[in-house]
Amino acid sequence: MPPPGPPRRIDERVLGAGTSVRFVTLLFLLLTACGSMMLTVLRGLAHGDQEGCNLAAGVDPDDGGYWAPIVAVSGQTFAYRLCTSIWAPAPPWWQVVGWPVLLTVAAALLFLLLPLRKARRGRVVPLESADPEGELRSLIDELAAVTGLAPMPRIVVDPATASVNAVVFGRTGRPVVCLDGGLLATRRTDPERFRAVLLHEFAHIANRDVTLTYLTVALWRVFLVLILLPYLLWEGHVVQGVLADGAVPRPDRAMLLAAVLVLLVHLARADTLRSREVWADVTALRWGADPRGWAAPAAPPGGPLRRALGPFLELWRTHPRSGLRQGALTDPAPLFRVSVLPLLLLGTVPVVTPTHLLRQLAPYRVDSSTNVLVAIVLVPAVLVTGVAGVALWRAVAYAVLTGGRVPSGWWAGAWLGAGMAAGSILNGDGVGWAWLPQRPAVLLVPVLAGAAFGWWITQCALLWAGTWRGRTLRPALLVSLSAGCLAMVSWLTWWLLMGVAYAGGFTVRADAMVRTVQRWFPSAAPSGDLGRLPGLTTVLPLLETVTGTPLIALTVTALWVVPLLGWAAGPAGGAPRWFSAAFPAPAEESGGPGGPPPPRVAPLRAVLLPGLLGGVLACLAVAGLQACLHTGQPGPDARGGLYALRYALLLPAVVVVPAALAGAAAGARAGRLRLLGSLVAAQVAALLGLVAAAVLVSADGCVAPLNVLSDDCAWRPVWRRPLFPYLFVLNNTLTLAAAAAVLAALAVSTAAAARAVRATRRVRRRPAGGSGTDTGTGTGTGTSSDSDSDDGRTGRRGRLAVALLCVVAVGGASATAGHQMYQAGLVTDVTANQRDYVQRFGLPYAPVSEPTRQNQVHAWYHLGGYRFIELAASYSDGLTAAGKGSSGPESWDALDGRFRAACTRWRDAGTFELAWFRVPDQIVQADWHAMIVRADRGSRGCAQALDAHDSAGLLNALRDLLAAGRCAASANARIDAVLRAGHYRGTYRTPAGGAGAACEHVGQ
Amino acid sequence: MASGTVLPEEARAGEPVRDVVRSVIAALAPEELPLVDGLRRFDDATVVRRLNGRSRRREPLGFGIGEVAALVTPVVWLVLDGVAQRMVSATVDRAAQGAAGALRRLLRRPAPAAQVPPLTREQLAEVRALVLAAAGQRDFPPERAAEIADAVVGRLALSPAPDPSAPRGAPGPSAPADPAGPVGPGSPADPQAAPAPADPPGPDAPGPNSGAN
Repeated sequence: MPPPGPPRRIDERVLGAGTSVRFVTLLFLLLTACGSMMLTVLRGLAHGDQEGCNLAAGVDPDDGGYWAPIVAVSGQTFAYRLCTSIWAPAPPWWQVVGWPVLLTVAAALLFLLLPLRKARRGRVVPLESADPEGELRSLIDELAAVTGLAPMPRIVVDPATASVNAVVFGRTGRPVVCLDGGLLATRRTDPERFRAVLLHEFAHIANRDVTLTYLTVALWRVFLVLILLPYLLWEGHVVQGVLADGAVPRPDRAMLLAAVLVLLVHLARADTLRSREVWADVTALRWGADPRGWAAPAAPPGGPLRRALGPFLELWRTHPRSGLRQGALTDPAPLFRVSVLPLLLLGTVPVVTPTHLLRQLAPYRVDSSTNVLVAIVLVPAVLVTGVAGVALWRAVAYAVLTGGRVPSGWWAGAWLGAGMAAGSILNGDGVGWAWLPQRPAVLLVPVLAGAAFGWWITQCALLWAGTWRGRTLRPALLVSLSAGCLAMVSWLTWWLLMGVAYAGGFTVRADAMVRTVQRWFPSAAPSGDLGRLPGLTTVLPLLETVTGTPLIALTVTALWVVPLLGWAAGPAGGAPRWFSAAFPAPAEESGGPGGPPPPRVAPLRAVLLPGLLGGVLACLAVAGLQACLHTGQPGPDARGGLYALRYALLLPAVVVVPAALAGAAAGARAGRLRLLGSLVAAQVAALLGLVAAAVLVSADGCVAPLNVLSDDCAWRPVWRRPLFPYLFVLNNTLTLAAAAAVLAALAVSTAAAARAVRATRRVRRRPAGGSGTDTGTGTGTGTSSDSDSDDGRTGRRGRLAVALLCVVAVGGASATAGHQMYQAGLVTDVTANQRDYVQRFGLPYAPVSEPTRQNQVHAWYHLGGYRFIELAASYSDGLTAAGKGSSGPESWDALDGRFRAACTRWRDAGTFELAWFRVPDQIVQADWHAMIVRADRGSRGCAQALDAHDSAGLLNALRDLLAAGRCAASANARIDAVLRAGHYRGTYRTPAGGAGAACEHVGQ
Repeated sequence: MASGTVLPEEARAGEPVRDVVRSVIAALAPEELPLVDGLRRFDDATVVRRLNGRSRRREPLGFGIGEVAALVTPVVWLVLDGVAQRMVSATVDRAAQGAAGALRRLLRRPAPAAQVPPLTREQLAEVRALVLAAAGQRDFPPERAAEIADAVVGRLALSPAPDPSAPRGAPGPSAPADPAGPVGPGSPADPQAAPAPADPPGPDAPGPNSGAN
């Protein structure tokens, strides 16, 4: 056993730092925020009446919730668009797009001007002025030669500054290093410091920090002036207006958003800069700087308050404290550490930025499909996965290289998820203007999703660290993070589309779901007990949202295929090549011991075998389900409805159960890689089950005891099979199997932890006993039996099986995702969406106060309703006029000439309910609806009677139309009464009374 | 002239402050000569403004350890510039000074370098006190402060003896006893500011305008 010595130094560049991605994330945040914030200002300056349109739509301004206003507006999309296009038109699109462009141009100009200002005359002098002998120049050239910098940076001197410091500015291609007077003065007395400072600044140039840093500085300053200042002024103006009206301003999320944006950018930038400082220190050290150059003057002792606030104050600084920097010179651990606060801040970005973009898009396109949302979340998903993923991979690489404890990743991931939850609250997604959503517990879902994400990333890093054969881990990192990015895209799509709605009170009615199911599975049989099916209004809508997430199948597939490939590669055998690249100095030269052994990986069969066995079980379960359903098979016309729904729900269930068992078995055999092992096995089992189901469904009717939907034998591909929701079954089976795998891994991990605790207690009771128990804290990832009996190398058959599984899974999932996205297109049918909304959620009348109802009716009438009342009145007048002058039997030609035009005009009344809002007063709405129904029926009947020369039909139709006119008059009279009760002016048309305004409601 | 007003050029007759500073620094802290050489590229007003300014805050991509060197140059330069400015303000008609400054700006000519006139023994003693105070404010140990003060006074003493008929514009109590502040009261940048004695003058100390008229 080698004697213990100092640990070998690790090359901090074993993986990229991820700094560029972090800076780009900040830039992206600012660019997306500026358009959204300026849109608010522009719309405010336009003095639009969006509040009026909301009132007219029946939104209760005192309702701080999310779901009711959403239903009111989305169920009347057409009317809302018409209203806002008249009363609150969006500014021209180029004004919204122009702000990010203006911000970019202004930031670019400032970026170019900043170095000119810093290097202006009167502030700095050329090095030659302070060094006429050229002594300093030769020393600096010598240091630059060590670093290999090309081109040589320009050196200037700030002779009036006494600090022993230097700073680099400009841009990476044309850097300027400014030496302070204090540094020059202490050059001889403290040469180590002089060299350290110079090399540190050169390291910033070599590490490409200059452009990104000053670009961020420039963009931030421009943002403060061009965007934040007008935004705050506007918000202040709004608050002042509210106060001037004697009202109390509501808690304003917009102001909070601005404040948090400032906080977020500042803290995230400071954190990134701190890590860049340590990077520069470590680079300078590698170039030969003396660690004594970092000696810091003793800090004055602070009071207890200062000591307590120390860690908080540290967050705001662009430079880490000197103790941490000096420590990093001997051990670069800080460069590999995962800090939770930056992850919390980062987590808000993927939620806040898509919302900013959607807010900019919404006034111009309300018919965007899910694919547009996928495109919008793509960039933030890439950025966040990049930042968090690189941080976690670095932490794992460091632990593997030093033999330290490998982080589990779930804790860091949970902080990332908490950031997403916080971002949702900040956005007001699912919240309305209240501070918390109606179902705050739903906000735990992002936290759990984040934890699972972090756990998966970390386990992937550990797996590939033990199996990757290349000189650098970067390709493995890229592949893993691509899968992680896909997961982030799917997650964000689901969360922004449905998660926030669930948090905000998403509720669907049972009768609406029954209608939906009957539309999916048409059946001649009565719906029967369908309405009482457990989970009809809770679980089924949730499963439906999973079905509608376009990339979900591909995501789940990527999440198990990527680790399976790593497993198939098998252990690298000896020290992986990237290990040697991570230790720049050989063990003999550094005098330290050799690196720790690479992480062991359980053999492929430890995870594949349970998966295959689970798959066999799943196949049998699918066949069993078919046989079971066959026994209760109804007649051919009655195989939709509850029967088909039961089939669609039970199929995923019977596949997921064996998958979960396989996951648990594999998780127990996969050493530390429990999550990945469980995921691979569960998904392999699910895949086999799904393949069996696909075959049986496609050939349904060919094996009599297993017939479910058909009686005749024919090949009907599963994706085109009537009464079989292929996407529903596929997406939900894969997603539920993945969720089951996570739970199984969690259970196995908990059991292992409990065993470890018991073992530790036993060892403590018997200190002289054996110490071979694996507590799970090392880097060993294989089970003891595996390592004893198997070197973990994957055989040819194993690789073939893996290749086959991967091809089938990726091929099927890609084709499904592509087809689903193609079907979705870029735009949706707004009419169909509105109809669907109303069918599912209705347009319930929320109980509101009397003044609110009067305000709503006032908005409804004055923003557009009066036009429709006038139209109805004119139709009625036209019909009355047409009926006058009749003095006996007339020919059909005469009748046609007299009534057809009047009847046809009444037909337009049928569009009133689509074109304008429902009246926000139930009694008036009853009149209004009766008018529309009678007008529609009467105008159709009139035309048909005139065509058929049916005098009785014509008489009935005309009665209907006259009744419609009376209903319009009744509605006008009631609106007049409501308005006058609310101290408004009455209707423009004098309300009629008596029989002329008596409306017989439909069905009466 | 008849009233005793002296033109700025005449008031500045003596040795340029920057030369005196360089001479003192060369003898006292030669490692700071690159700074002095760099500062000599600026005009006097810029040097004083920059030396009086706060030390640069931590910038992104700076080294950032936060150590500040104890430099002699700011002490000497600021005190001598204060002395020079006090001598000017004590002897020069403000209107003439303003007119000369405006004409100079109009012609875009650089300001003439501040000069330290030959000082009397009392004035030298006051200069010494000012240097001691300034060095003390910059946390120099007393021995080093005395060393600096002696070097400055010794260098000034080598200048030609003052003309007895010259106005007795002493360095005055309002010379930059507080080098950390903005440009000292009474300097051309703030001609209306009242003197703010950081160190009360002795009974023999002449007033700011005692010899001017």
